[in-house]
Amino acid sequence: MKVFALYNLKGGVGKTASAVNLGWFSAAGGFRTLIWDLDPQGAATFYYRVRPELRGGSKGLLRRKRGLARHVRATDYERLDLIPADPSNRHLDLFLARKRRPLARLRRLLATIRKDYDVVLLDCAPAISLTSEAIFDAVDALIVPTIPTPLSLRALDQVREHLRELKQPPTVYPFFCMVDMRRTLHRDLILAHQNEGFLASRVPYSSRVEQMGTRREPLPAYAPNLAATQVYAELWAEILEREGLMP
Amino acid sequence: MNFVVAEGSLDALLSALSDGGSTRVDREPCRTETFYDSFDWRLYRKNTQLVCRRRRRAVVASLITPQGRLEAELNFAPVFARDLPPSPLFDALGPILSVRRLMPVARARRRPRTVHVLNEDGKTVARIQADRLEVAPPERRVKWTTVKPSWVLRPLRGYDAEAEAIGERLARLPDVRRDSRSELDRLLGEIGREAGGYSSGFRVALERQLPAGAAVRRVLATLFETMRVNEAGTIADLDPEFLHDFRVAVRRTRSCIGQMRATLPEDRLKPFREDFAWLGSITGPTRDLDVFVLDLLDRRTELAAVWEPLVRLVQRDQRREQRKMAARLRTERYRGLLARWSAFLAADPVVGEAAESDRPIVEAAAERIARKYARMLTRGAKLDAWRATDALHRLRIEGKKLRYLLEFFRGVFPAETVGPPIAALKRLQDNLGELNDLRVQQAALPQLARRLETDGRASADTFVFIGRLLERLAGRERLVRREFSGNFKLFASDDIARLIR
Repeated sequence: MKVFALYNLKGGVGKTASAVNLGWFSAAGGFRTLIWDLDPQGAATFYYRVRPELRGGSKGLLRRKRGLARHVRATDYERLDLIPADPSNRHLDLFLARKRRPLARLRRLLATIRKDYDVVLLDCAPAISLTSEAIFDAVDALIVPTIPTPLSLRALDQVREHLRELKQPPTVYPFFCMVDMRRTLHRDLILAHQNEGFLASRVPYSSRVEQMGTRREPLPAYAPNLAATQVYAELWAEILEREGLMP
Repeated sequence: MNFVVAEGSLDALLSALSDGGSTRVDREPCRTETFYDSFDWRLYRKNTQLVCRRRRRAVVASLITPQGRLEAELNFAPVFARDLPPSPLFDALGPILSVRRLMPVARARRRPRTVHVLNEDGKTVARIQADRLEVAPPERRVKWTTVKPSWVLRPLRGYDAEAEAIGERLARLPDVRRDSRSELDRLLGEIGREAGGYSSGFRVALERQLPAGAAVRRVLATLFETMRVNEAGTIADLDPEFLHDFRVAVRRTRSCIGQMRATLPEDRLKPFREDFAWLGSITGPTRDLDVFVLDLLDRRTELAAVWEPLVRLVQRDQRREQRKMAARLRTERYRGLLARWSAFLAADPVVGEAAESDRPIVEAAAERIARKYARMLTRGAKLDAWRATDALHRLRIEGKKLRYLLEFFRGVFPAETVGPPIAALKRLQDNLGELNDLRVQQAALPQLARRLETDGRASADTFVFIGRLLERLAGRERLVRREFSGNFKLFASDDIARLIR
């Protein structure tokens, strides 16, 4: 089982859209896939039309003995499941802090379902917190959507700097997203930074992506031929190749 | 949950669901599918189905397990699990199939129609498959049979309560009844076939008071049946398990004839004893080479480049021996044996035909088992596992005989009496069996090395590798010998001895 986190310190960069769409491509490619919505906003949960509630709230979620499986909901798509967000996720840090070995907690929770899934994607809240530290411990790689703007790139630097302090940092896969090549700023910043470990696939800005909120479906389900959809497919293929995963 | 319906119209289903929320129907074009399983129904027994269909030039293989559905696009229809590319499909199929070949068991023409039952958020909470189906046996050019319409309710993870409510509503409809059979069961039923027919395990029903002569004939008849069903696959070399099961049946037959000779007429049995020994000897070399090939196939990654010449040489030998064996299984001698043996087994036993033929089987078997066990204890206690090789081999043969006796007649004893001795004996036998395989391979490798050298086809790396392999086999042998004493102690323990007495 490979665990990825869609993570960025900055909000509004397309983490949820990426988690939702990459999850869809993973499942469509034959992997048993789980999206775990850790963001209190619960946007991924909303997109997949699942009710944002967990048995026993996020406090119950952290109970290792009972495992993660009881929180799983099937989505409308074959092989794709989801652990919904819960409003109480905003207190996740607090609940985590009360646990023994809080940093290892998510990893050990994920171990309870390792035989059920090939790929797990965590949709994370934008923060550096106890929860995100536990996420860094649990994942094989961070997938970092980055808009080609100074603030977004700065956030990526901050993440990298923070990871350097860890003993065993996860791999980082940044990629450009919401790209508008008509803008000089986007063009210049991509040119200046593209050799800093960014994946080759760049997700273009598209208002159709924003429609995910009104349609409550992943992009490939309603716009399979859209350029952005194709790029998500390529992005997922690129990640699979880097991770040595075969569909 | 399956529902069979007399009038399977989609409209009837939709109207039955209409008061519980909205629905959406997906229709897909007709496709032809092939269902696969191994000869011994390994997938079926694991509640799993492998279904393949063509998509352009590729083959889409779907593995439907109780945990969900796995799909992979392949360049060819799957035959052995080991031929599949590394994938979740391979990970799931490999452990179930092991070395067994996949064989088509049925074909279906499917017009998929899926009804999604939605909640207020428009989220699917259950799916109902209302496919139109036709089925045919796997052989080509046979007629298609229309399958009785059915609805299959597929619950979604986390939405069990919803599925249950829908199930109850459907079950209340007129002309609808629940059916617990799997789809494959229903399809095979339509063409007059049945899944799960063959299993390599030995099972025969015997009554405790049955005269021993009749009981032993029943055991032998079951073994004969196993030989016959594995014969075609053995000759065609479909996979190594056919020959394995065939040989096990022959060996068990020989063992049964020998062990239970007091229950059968000796004069009629004598010629069969020689014939079955012959059958054992002509199938032995192929089996040894099968084991060797499988062992090398397992080491493919670890041996990488040097593996190729070695495995090719052994495979060539295997094919040669296989051809020789297949030819012998087509001879008059073999055909004659089958005919005479079948006649012997079919004839009714004559009262008093042998010393113990009329004793109740429960007594005759118990006495035989106790005697064999005592003999193994005496033999095993005397030997030194670090040095003895022939004695260990003889002990293994004795162990096999005891194991067979326990298996033949387990039905006449309470399960709690037979279970623990079989388990303890199995551990001991696995240990001794591995030692035997290690000895055989260590003897074969230097010979192979000499042949490779004469052929001049192998690089120096190959010989280095063979040297390393020999070292590793010797290391493993030491470990296996060390394990022997613990396994034997358990087998000889008072707990086991009490059960056998």
